[in-house]
Amino acid sequence: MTGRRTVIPFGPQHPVLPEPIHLDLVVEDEFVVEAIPSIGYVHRGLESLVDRREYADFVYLAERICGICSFTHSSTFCQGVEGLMDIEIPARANYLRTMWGEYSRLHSHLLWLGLFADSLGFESLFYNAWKIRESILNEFEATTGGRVIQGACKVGGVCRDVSNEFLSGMDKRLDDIETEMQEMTKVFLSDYTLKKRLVGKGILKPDDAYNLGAVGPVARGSGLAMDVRTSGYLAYGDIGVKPVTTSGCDGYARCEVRCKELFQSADLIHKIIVAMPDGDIATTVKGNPDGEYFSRSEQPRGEVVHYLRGNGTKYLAQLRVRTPTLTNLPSLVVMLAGAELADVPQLVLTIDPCIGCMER
Amino acid sequence: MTMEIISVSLADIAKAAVDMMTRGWRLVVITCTAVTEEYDITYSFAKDNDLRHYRMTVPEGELIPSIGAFYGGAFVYENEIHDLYGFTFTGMTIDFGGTFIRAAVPYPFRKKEAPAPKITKVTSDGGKRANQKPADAAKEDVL
Repeated sequence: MTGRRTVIPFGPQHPVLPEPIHLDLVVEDEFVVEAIPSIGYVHRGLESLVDRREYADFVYLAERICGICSFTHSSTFCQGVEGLMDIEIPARANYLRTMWGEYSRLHSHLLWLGLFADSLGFESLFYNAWKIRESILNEFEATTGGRVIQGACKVGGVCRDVSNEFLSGMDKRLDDIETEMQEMTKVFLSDYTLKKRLVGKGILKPDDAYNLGAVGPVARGSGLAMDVRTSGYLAYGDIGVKPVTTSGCDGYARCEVRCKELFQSADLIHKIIVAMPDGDIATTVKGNPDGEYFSRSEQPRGEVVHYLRGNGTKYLAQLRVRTPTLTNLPSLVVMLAGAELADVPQLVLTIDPCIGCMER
Repeated sequence: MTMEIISVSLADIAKAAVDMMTRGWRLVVITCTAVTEEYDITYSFAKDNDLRHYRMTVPEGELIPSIGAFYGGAFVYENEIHDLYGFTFTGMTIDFGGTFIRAAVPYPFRKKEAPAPKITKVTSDGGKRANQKPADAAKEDVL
């Protein structure tokens, strides 16, 4: 080491970044000594619109916080309003929300796996992951009418039902999707080049992960069994969830968690379809929300928190959304310290950053 | 899943954070909310599936001690609250100096002052003088 330090700007525009984030990389020779992140390129101030849109309409704005985990945002927001108004939604609506939430996880993880393969120049693997993802988006389109923004959630339940016959068809099609995913994940977990670029890179020790507030696959890749689904919200209490963890603490471990979670989600969807209760899909909502509520869900990237404060009118007084990427940012700073400069793009991707979602 | 909110004074927030850290609670989020005259700043911690919140009520512009020394991830929330609401946190582990979220207007989530009430003066000239600029109207009064 020469002891001479240079600051290299990384982003906001970079080939591996679909969205803008900037990092000041302080490097000594080819090694990163410190990484200082800065955001704010796509801050939309969506939260401040909450006092100008009726709470029932805001569901569609909440859904647009993110273009990948859109469904989970709308369901978490609805869950918050329902918590404020003490509304119990019908069991079928709970199961449908859970099913779409898990399809959302499948599509998000497949999107990430494709983008990651693309970042390494592994184009055939990228196409393969996104081809499988298309099958998931087709299911979204068939059941909700939307591929990316579904508009299926509303306060009090869901807007659309899915017939039991169609659910049986989804169950069968999911078996085929699982077979395709088996083939694909074998490559991700055993390919020489992928392992070379991930094993032992971007170490995040369990204590650091916990103290820095890491969530989702970032925390579970460091051996922390943290998953909000274990709290039993929606239908997770009925079907049961065990967090997928690995103890590698490196980029490979985070990739492995996402690969294994694909099959966990498929398994959960099978269970949901089998146990889908009959009945109404929504309940009548009367009155306006008052008080405050912290609504939590497990998004594909980790725990999301919607804080809602009502004032007895049809407009909420406050909404504050804490997304998983924001809380995974300090962990990224730790992962990058000591990394080789050439590994930075892949290490940034291992936290599955969603910048639009983070900045709201 | 429990949600408990505990009031805490500005002077005691650091002590509460140390206490939570030593008992194994992780920091989930720091939230700022505008209330009637002041702001609520809520520190949310989680352990297993339980949530616990410490809340302090502070006036606009109050200096707030950072908890970054105990929770390394606090800097994202503290910088965000600074950039959106204008509160200054003392002793942040990474201080972006107002550039963490580059908003077009400074402190966009700070409580907006109520606009001054519009006064319509009824004058003998049918409102002509009332529509003049205040300085011109004053000059005319002197004349």
